[in-house]
Amino acid sequence: MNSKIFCLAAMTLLFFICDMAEAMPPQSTASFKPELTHVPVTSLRQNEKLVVRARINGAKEQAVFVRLYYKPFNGDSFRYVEMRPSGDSFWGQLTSERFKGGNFSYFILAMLPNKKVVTFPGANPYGNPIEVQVTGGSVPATAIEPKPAPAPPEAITKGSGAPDSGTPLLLLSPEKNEKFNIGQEVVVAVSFLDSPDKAIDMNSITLFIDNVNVTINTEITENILTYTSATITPGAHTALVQGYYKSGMKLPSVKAPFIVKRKKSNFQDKLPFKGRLYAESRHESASGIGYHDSNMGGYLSGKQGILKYNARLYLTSSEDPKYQTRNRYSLNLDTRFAGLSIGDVYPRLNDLMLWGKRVRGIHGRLRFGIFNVDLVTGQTARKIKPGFVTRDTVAVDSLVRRGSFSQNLFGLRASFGSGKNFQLGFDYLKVKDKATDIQQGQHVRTPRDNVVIGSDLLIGFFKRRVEFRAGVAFSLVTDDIYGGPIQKDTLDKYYPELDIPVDPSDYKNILIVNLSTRPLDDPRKGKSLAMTSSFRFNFFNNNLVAGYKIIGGEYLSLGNSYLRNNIRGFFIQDRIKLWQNKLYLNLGFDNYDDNFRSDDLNSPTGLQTINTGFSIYPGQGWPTFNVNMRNYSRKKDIDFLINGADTTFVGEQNDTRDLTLQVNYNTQIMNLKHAISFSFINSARNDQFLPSAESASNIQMINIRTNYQIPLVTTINFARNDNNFANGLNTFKFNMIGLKGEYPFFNNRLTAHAALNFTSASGGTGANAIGGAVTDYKRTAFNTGARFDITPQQLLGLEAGLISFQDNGFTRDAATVSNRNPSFTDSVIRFYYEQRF
Amino acid sequence: MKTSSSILIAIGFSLIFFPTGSFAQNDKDVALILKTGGTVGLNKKGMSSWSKAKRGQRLHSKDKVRTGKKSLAALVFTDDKSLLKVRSNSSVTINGQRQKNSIAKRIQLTFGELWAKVTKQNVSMRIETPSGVATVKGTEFYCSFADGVFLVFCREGLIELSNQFGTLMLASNEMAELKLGSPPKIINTNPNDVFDMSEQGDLRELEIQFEDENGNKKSLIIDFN
Repeated sequence: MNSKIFCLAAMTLLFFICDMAEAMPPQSTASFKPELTHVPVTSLRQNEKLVVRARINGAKEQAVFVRLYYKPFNGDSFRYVEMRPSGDSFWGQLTSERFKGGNFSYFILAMLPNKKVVTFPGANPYGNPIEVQVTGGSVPATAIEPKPAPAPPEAITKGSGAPDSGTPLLLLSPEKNEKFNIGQEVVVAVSFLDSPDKAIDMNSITLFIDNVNVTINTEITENILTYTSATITPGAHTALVQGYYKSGMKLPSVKAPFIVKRKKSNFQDKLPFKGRLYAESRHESASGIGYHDSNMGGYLSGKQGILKYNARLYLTSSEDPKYQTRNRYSLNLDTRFAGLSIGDVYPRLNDLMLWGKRVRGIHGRLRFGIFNVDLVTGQTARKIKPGFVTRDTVAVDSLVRRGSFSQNLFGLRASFGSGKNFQLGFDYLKVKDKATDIQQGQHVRTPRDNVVIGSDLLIGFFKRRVEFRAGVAFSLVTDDIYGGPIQKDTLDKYYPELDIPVDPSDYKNILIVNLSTRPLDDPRKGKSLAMTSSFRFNFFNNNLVAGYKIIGGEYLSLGNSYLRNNIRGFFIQDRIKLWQNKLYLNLGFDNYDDNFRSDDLNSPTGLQTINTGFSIYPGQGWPTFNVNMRNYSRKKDIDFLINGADTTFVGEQNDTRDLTLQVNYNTQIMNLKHAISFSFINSARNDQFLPSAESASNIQMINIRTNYQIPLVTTINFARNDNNFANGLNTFKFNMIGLKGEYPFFNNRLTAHAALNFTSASGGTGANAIGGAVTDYKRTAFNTGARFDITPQQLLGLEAGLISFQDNGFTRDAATVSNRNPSFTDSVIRFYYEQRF
Repeated sequence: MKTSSSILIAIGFSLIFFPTGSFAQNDKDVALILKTGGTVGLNKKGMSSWSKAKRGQRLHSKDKVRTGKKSLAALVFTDDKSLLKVRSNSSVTINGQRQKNSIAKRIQLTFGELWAKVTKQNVSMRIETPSGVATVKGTEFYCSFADGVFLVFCREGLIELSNQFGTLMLASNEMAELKLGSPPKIINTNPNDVFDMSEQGDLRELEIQFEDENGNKKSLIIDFN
């Protein structure tokens, strides 16, 4: 019997130990830790000082420091004062100026020699400081909700904590007016903060969504309540949790309004695409001559399954067969692996060959990542017929305007690698004028044929923060294809060293080769070769880019005809971020040789640019500064020729220095918000050989945009420009002042504006000499208009303007003293409409 | 018969007065999953498999949450609404013990990155890694643990960092690292280079409206996380 009782007791004890061990919280060493003891101060009279004392218990050594942290009621951050030792405790004080005489909060922090920190309150003093109410101050005494003083330190270290005297229901979700997308799960969750003397009756807890009792679908445990639903209809809703204490008292209920976003149900949002349509008409009368221009267009984009599409259209009344087309249209279709663009496309294959030139045709592309193909074909220029005028006195019509050839382009690119971190591309481009479009002698320039082949490489590391790029291209261009290709024997006669094994006329479909083809000598000489390389390093707050390029003197790609040739050199630039990205330093240097070809009769010219500057963005409430200085110099290798070899030769050595300063500041003055912008630009050019080319300019601009307390916005701008050329021989001064006001009506649906602008200019170019001119004019412009939002998707606009130009300037000729410049009055009226969908 | 009865009585006595799990209620409903984005997994205590985490799911002590690439889990602690966001490619174990109306929170960061905002509380929050422990005394912070390096950036407040080699107090706008085998130390790394602090990793759609000088309005919509 005794053994049985023993076994019974042992089993019971075993169960008890196991249960306790599982439920035991982590062993707390708090009772053995040093701790701060302090009697909190929760109220003060106005102008009374705060005096606090604190003692560190349990610490073996003296504290390194003890600080009293404080924050005024509306303060952003805590500051501190040192507390001084006094016997076995520390004391500190705050005068009322520290907390500006209003309510404030504080906590105490002590650093021990072992770098341990103890605080009072013990846990999260920043979030749970002691709040002090100052009575008799400017801040109402009820500014802070009265809270019980924190529990004594012993209570905290034992983990009991003081119960919150507020509602026992803590709303976890949703936040007030939180928005959920339709179909998204709405989570309602409330935590029960029970207390021993106020136990909640869990069976009484109910949840209502918009007065509908959904408790049956709610999970309620002794700690929290959770409800989840993805089928709540769009609109504003309210969750309400109610219940009772076990004592029968009603619980303070918790209400949470939230919104399920309504899916747009109007017609426009049922469309499978979105876009806009617009129409604009403008009429201007200038010096009695009327000009009218209208345009219309639109844009739409959408997605259907795997297909993304967009289309653009722009039609203008300025379209004229005497000029290149001004209308634009395009249709783009894209899937993950393929795409097709029709109309006006702007392909980019290789920046040495084809980079954004408009092509009216087709651009097809395949994108597999490992392997990609781009093909583009179309017309880059249309035929412009020459213009003739018939004169009675002349039998043959007179040519008054030369024509232009139509130009067709074909480009092909094959690349390996997606381009995310690696891509190797091979490119082919052919561009050819249609020589049969214009008769010889009636064209602006001769018809050309151009073939370019090239390759490019991209290698990137660390999300392309380290990046290497290189490109190479070789071009063949025939400047005049009127005569067609030449035969091999003719080529051998003029270029015997070339020794081409084939007859060029057999390959006229690839390129028409004749005596105007470049190059016709050894391509290894590099005259038609272009190479670029660059390296980028974006680490350690530096964005460093350096590169080198060499573009041969005869390199030409009609797909990128603006690319400068006969130039080589390098550049290096860096943008350095400092001071938590508030300060940026810009440094740049480039050095090029222009006309570097050794067989060129032109003397090479050295081009050098040094660029330095900085930008400061201190943060909200402070102005931003941008300062930049650029020094650009040009110097020919040869200053002069001896023996009179070329009497027209002029040496070149000049320096241009530009200094730019910009300040922007958003501020509030006299309760008005102002956005102020100031710019100063100073430029000076010194020329060693041509004093007449020297110049100096000073430009100052100020712009102030003000938002008033009524919904009026005004903009004042002022600009001044002083220019001096040829050491004062020629001058030009310009002043402008403008004022604009905007005001909305009818709940911002109608916005009207009016603007007045005064400009005056004066100056002269050798005014006293024959052929000289004097500039002296005043221009007054008035502009007014309004924009009306018919609906949120439709707007209508109207603008009218009047310009008065009074010119007192003249030109001096041999016969008369002056030829006065005309004065005139211009008017402009503009109408526009836009529909978004 | 009498022996069997005695044993049954003993068992019954134990179960009545010391029911299994009676103290285990202290570790239930420690936190709640408020939001998920991307791939978020949940491993309940004692289970071997992972399930897909859902909004509104309750977390008990020792439950694990992990996120995949471009994913996010936002958790809220049920005692004080402190927020914890588990960023992409991270794994955490949530530990918490109720002490009256507060929960002593211990988050074991196995790997990855966290953001947390601690509200007023009476008990501490600790982030534990093999390299050290961060005890939160302030309000907002970022931390990450990978390859044995525990990085902590205190945005506001105070955080005590400690391991067996030393202790360090981290103040506002300071960043520190704890490595295996060395004491915690403050580092001068720009936190923007380490943590994505743009929008605390929320999965959101941002719509920005522009208006040009002619009053034409355009919207730019950015989906980001």
